[in-house]
Amino acid sequence: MTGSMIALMLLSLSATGAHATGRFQCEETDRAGWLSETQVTEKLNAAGWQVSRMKEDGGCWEVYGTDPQNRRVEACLHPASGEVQLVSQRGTIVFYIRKSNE
Amino acid sequence: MRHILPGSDFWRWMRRRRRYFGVAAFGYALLHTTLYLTDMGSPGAVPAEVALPAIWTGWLGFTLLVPLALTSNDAMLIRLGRHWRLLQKLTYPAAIAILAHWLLIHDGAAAALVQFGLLAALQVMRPRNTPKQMET
Repeated sequence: MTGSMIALMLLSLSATGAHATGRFQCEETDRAGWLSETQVTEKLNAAGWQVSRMKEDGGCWEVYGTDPQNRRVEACLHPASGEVQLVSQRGTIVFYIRKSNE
Repeated sequence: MRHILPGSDFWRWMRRRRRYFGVAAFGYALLHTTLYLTDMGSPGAVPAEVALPAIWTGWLGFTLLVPLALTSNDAMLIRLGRHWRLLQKLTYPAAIAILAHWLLIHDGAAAALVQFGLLAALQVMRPRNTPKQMET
């Protein structure tokens, strides 16, 4: 009984390993060329966004806030250009920039 | 639980208090929903995103817990009689809705699946011939 339970636990763990981290990866960039949090915030504010917080994830700036349509979203930004790569609203992707090499 | 921990008084302790656990779960859901509504700020923002899968599953889970919380007192338990037990089965669709809500809203599914994996394991191991005694 205990054995099958442990097996089930391991199964549920292994099934999630693949997408345990963020859903988006930015291209490799030199850390020195990154925009600062303030620069990212200013750029987004100018475009009609509101930023509540941000963190690094998958080589991107991951920003939490409100987009110009007043939706509560998470956005992945290119860390050097500040270009919005992906926007998701409560887990639903509402914007995705497709790379030319994809 | 009785089958995993034979001879342990812990499962019995938990079993005797399971109505409290249920009420605590609702209390947590209520707090979670209140914080969500506060975080959303403007009242218009809430209906604007209610159609998103990650959001309506959350509302569904919460709504299913409301009748359970309202009938969690002794008076309702006595008044509803055997229907009370039937009503408790709402916890299953509520659990499924909450799992969906959790999986959809988050990037990482690990935490949700670990917790629900354990619940599913307990469910699988549950003896089919549980005596139908009136327990709360």
